[in-house]
Amino acid sequence: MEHAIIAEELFYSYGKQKAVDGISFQIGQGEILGFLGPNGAGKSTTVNMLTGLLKPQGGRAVLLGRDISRDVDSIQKYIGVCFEGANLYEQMTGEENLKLFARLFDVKNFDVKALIARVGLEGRGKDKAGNYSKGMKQRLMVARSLINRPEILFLDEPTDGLDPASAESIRRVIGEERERGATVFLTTHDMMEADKLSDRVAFINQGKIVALDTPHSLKQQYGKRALNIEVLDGEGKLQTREIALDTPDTPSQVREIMAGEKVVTMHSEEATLEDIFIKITGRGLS
Amino acid sequence: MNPGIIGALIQKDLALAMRNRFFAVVLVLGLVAYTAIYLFMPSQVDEDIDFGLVAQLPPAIIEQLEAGEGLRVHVFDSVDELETAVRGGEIMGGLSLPDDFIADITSGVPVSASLYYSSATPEEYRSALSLMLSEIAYTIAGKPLSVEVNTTVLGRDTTGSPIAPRDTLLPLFAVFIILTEMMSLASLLSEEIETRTIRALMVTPMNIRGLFLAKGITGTGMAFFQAVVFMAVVGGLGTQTGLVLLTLLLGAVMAAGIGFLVAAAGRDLMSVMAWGVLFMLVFSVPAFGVIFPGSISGWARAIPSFYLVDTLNQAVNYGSSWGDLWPNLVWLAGFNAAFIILGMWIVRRKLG
Repeated sequence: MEHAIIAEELFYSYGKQKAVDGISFQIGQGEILGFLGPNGAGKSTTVNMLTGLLKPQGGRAVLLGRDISRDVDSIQKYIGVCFEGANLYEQMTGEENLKLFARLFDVKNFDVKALIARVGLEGRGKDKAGNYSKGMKQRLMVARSLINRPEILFLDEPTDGLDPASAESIRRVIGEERERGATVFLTTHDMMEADKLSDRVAFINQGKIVALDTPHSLKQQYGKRALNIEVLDGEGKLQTREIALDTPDTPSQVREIMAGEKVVTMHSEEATLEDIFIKITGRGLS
Repeated sequence: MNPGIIGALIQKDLALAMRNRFFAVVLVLGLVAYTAIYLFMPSQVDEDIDFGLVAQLPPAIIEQLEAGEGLRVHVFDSVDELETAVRGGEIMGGLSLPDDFIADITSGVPVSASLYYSSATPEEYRSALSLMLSEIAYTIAGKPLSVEVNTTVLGRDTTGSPIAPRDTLLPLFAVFIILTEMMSLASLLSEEIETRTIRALMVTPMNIRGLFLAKGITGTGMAFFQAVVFMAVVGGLGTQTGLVLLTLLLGAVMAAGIGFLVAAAGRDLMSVMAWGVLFMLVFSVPAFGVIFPGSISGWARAIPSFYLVDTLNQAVNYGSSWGDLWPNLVWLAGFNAAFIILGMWIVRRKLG
């Protein structure tokens, strides 16, 4: 697989504070990488370096075969960026916002209505962006990042704080972009979303990548499978029994509960990415 | 309302205001700027006349002249030195007496003398200089004598061609128009930074140089257009049109450069307005020198807008030409380059 992004020993510090501390990774073309970490872990600084907003103080980033530090102007023609938090021209309509960026990218025959419809904003394109809800603004931001049919799409917390419909609309677009062959760099602290969308995930903590693999491999490597059984105790109160799966004692433990207690529910549980992150770093994502 | 609650609110607001770096800086800068302007201006009414003299006179006569109230005599070796001092504003005017002045006066031969003053010398000082000459002749001869006076005005003589009050305001209005557009540009750029739309721009093929160029052209264009419309409407383009247009263009470029500085300093519209007004106040000072001649002195030349105001005033009101005013244009271009470079550098630093 060709690599769309190669990061080698990327480093950036704000004074003495190391924001990104020599991280390296590669992302294949058409791959979705979930970049996960708590606030202040170095996610945004990494994205800023990869998109040319910040010049790395150490190491290098190669996008589509070109060093971003040396060739930023030409690389930016082929990337799309959706920032965390709305940064739209709120006095302009949705369509005007998109048309402006289409001109900046020199997109010929730009079909603004089709793009508006693609993100589910039909009929609202003539409204000022300032009058949009948070979800609508986010969808417009995603649309803006797609204007130039980017080869690499950077999405920074694209569904953070959105209603389920807006979030699902954005996830659908991400899926369509993958189908088209775009590489997606997905920054999020929503582990469920990362698990669902990403081919691989990278955990970043205190400026360093502490794990990088497929969600399945990480779960196998760090997670544990368990059986959660809810039972009623002698006083009629609900109690939860957790039994680790894949141990020699598992069958006898299950039999013992089934025979001696009043079982209400029983379901299997596998480790989430959040569990694994906590296990690796000793801290949560929020 | 409980006085304690009111006190607590006041204390909280004061604390918040002091923690706001913008308010703190503007407060301090405002105080420093206004204090500095105040201190730079003359602290007392100066009724003495600084008077130059090129003459072979006995020291006793000069001492006698200086003994009178309201006169400070500066002796020069040559007329050239005297003219330089008058042009530079060091003295209000001066007299050059011929070498045989004393001999001629004492023998009763008709004498003549040359009187020099600048075009900016007020009429009352000019009269005083003429009286001074008679006083010297009287001191030497001991009786009133008629002295023929050859007057030379250094610079453009405006005597007999007074400027209408509204025309004296022209440069001030033009500067206000240009500087108001400075605030518009600063506001545009500041809003880009504040709302982070600038980040969205910076990940497109538009780079930072393109951004500055676009903003610079916008700001310069808006300021230039409005200033030209104003000057055209009031008839300010009737004389020295090319020179006036170039001056307005340079002024508009200056507005763009200062706009970058103000945008970098401001965080939002209110802070942009505050910084902008500060610049407007300082940059308006030279215009008051046109309205009230003699009210400002040499230090006003340190304010970049002086060269804008002076060029417009000289070209529009007195028909001065390229040959007279090119040094002003050079100064203006130099200040513009400094503002543009400094403004871009500071905004880039702010963008990280």
